[in-house]
Amino acid sequence: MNFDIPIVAAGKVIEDYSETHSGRFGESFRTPDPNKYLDDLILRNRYKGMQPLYQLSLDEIVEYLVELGKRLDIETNPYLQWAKEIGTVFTDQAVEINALMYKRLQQHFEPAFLEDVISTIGRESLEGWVDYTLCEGKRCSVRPVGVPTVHIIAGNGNIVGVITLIRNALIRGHAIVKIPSNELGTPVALARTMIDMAPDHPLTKAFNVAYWKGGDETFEKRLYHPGTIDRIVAWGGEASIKHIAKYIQPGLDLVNFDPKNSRAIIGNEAFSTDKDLQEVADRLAADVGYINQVGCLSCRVAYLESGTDEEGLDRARRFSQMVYDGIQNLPHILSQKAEHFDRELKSEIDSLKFMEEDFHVIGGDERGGVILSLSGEEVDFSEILSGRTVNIIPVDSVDQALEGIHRDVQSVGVYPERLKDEIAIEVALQGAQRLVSLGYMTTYSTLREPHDGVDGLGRMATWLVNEDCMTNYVPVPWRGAPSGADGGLMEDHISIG
Amino acid sequence: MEQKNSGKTVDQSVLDEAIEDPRRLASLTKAETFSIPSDVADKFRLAAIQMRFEKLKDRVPMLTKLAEEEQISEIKTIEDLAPLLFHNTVYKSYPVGWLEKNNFKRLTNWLDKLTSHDLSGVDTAGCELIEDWLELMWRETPLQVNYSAAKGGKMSFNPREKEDWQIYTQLFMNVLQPFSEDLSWKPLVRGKDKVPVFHWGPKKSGRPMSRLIEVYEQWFGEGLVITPMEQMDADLMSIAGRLEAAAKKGEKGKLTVNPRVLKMKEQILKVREDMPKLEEAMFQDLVTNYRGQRVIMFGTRGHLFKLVEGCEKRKLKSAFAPGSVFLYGSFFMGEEPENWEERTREALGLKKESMMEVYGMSEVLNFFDRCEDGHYHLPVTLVPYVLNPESGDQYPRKGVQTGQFAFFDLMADSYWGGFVTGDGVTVNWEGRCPCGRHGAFIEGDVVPLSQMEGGDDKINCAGSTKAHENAIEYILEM
Repeated sequence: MNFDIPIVAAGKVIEDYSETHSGRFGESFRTPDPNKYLDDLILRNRYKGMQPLYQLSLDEIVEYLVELGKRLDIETNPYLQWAKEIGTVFTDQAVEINALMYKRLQQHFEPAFLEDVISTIGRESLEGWVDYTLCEGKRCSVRPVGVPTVHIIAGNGNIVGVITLIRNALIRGHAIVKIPSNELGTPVALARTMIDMAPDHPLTKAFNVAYWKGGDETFEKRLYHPGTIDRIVAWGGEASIKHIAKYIQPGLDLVNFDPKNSRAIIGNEAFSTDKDLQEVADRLAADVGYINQVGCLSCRVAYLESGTDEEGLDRARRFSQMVYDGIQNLPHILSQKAEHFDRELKSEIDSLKFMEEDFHVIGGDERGGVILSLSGEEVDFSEILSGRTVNIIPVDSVDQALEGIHRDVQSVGVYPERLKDEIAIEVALQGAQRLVSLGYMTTYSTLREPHDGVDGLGRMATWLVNEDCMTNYVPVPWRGAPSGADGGLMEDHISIG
Repeated sequence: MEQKNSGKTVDQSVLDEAIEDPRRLASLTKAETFSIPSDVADKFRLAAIQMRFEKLKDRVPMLTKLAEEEQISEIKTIEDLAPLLFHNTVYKSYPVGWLEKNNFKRLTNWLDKLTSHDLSGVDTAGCELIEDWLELMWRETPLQVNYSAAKGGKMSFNPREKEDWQIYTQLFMNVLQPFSEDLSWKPLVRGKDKVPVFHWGPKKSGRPMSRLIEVYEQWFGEGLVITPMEQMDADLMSIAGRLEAAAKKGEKGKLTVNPRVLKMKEQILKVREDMPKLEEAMFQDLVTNYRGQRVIMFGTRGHLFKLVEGCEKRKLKSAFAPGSVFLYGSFFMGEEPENWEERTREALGLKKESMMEVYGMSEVLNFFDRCEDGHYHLPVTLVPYVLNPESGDQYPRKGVQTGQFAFFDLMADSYWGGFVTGDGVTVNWEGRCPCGRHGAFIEGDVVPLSQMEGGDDKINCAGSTKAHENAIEYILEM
């Protein structure tokens, strides 16, 4: 098995493997020395490097992406097959689920999908200038302009590379993608496919990928410089930020997609009938178990309005068993036993098993688990829940559940629908960014919806404004004071905001 | 390579008698401890762990349950014990919310599962603070609980008996001894010697070193231990962990801080302002008033460097009398000054073997010092294991093995001594260190396990921001 990860820069593949790095699970991989090839990754002349992108119409960009999508069939694309094989060694994801995610890559490049992405900013904006007039008559034309950006992407799913590629293309940016050690293959596979398709195309040259070890100061000092790039888009939390925080300075903008965890709120209507209860349990099982809980959108904590007296806790126990059983019965293609169950998590769960008055634990190993907090305390390690493990917290009211929502919570899956609409504003005020029907938490499309509360595509761009002050003649001092002026002239040429 | 020999031996009868009470071996000298050949040591270890398991398997509830789950009812080999080693999360497995709500009854019930002592009759009604609870345990039970701040700021609590600290201090005195013949070294005699100890930490706290200080002063005299800080408060230390837990619950702004802790604001402010001066004053005191005397110093390598620089600035050489010792902890952050060993020797008058790097943790009643060949030697009362960090399976007890360090501490009498650490080590089972000590040893550095596992720039978008806030800052802002 070849664990060599090339650099792809300016439409060229660099395979001078001189550096060895340790990956997860005891394996290692080789890369070129990024210090030798920094000049290939960055733009020495921004105008020359990026100007060809501005000669492309939006339709031409879409055409490129649609054509690229046709070549991203896992059955026939050797680079994706290579990436998938590497994934079996270095990622946390189950092999079959990983395979499914590769099968689904192509749908992101279909015309209808791409139009949805475009509509988050608006076709007009991505085509060119959008005009509007201010109240004093100034005419403004605005358009988004891509900039040289380093993308420190997350590796808990191969889709992040795809998201980055599509956004970068639509916004006409220049991307330097830092490959994460837990998803080494997909960014390279995408870049190599682009080269095979159109090696000299501006969009091909604008998508560059490399692995360097976070904290390589020699490299990062040169890369993270306002003279080299305008923006850093960092996914994840401490792991990505700790190495770049010291480089953030005026002229270098940071877009941070923080680490998130997601929760569910289940109203007492779930207990209306046995049939309802079963459906709710199945829906929660799906939100916990789909894609093996690797995403930030996966449910890790669920508040259950069962009541906290003995009767309520009995209801909660019954529900917890149903959720556990539901997890075990999920379609194999979408959810399986964990291949590497986090040992630290296992030891935390095992410790809880000895506190029977406070926690009722079902499972808690590679099959998944439900931790029912009998005393109403969220477990202290909820952010490392993985391998299809959920903490269910019985509450007496939805208000108590809302106290557990905060800014680190991205998605809140809610049952019933009525409740979702009622608590929407409260959930947002508590800091969360997304509400969704219970059972659908994993259907989030960050390319086509606000991404963790921000406009993902729009944040990639610098929004350029071109002001026309002549057509509607915006008064200025040198053309003389109007009659009766008592300082009114000075006010005219000062921005009124 | 020929192994040196200390010339010391331990009679088999001493080991046989120690099977029922391994603590008897605390009186062995360092040279004696490491004269025991590996096969003899392992024979003793097996017998002793069998004794410990028989004694505690029905008396420490968490062990009882674990043995039941693992279906282990007897120990036939040292390897058999591995599934029963407690993971390092066990001693902090209580929900932090209990501290928030002053639920010391639940905390006591939890601790009850980790000790062979019966804590069911303890009335926690009057406890408002962790310090209240610690004092209650001390007053009404055989326990003198210690704590330490674990990863993420959450405190772990260890159910130590009062007697444990006597053993701990004895083992500390042992680690001060040189391994080889050193005529300048004289063991300290209780009631006679008054050797001051300088420690860069709090005098009073629930941390193991503070317990050690207390016993040291009981043995050798009040006031002999000099520290820059009089007290570290458990409640303050716990705030950091509770902040993180509260943040996860969206209640950061609503974190309840007991008014008695808030009253410490003034004290906190004063300590913060005074700490640099207090540390400086301690250095001054040391080099001015104790020059030429025999002293014991326990700090970090950073403190050691500072002391050396201080002496160099004053153009002092051989500042302290023979028999002085400086002990420092293993994990060092920062750059090592050039020629620091030589400079330390010259400035402080310390021989190389008197500058001791020690490895230890609050979960083990012992210290492991680094030999002149750079290895940490493991005494006969410690049964080491090396585990696969991913699967938890144990590596063979032969050759050289690298993995997660775990052990069984035979000195543990009323609690289970089996523990899986968060450290990565390489253990040489052949035990033929050139320094002359017998027995398996840890080669080279001890590192955090995460460093050993690699892939440390794995990036996930699932998790939490882990915005640590300094507890003191938080309280000062209230």
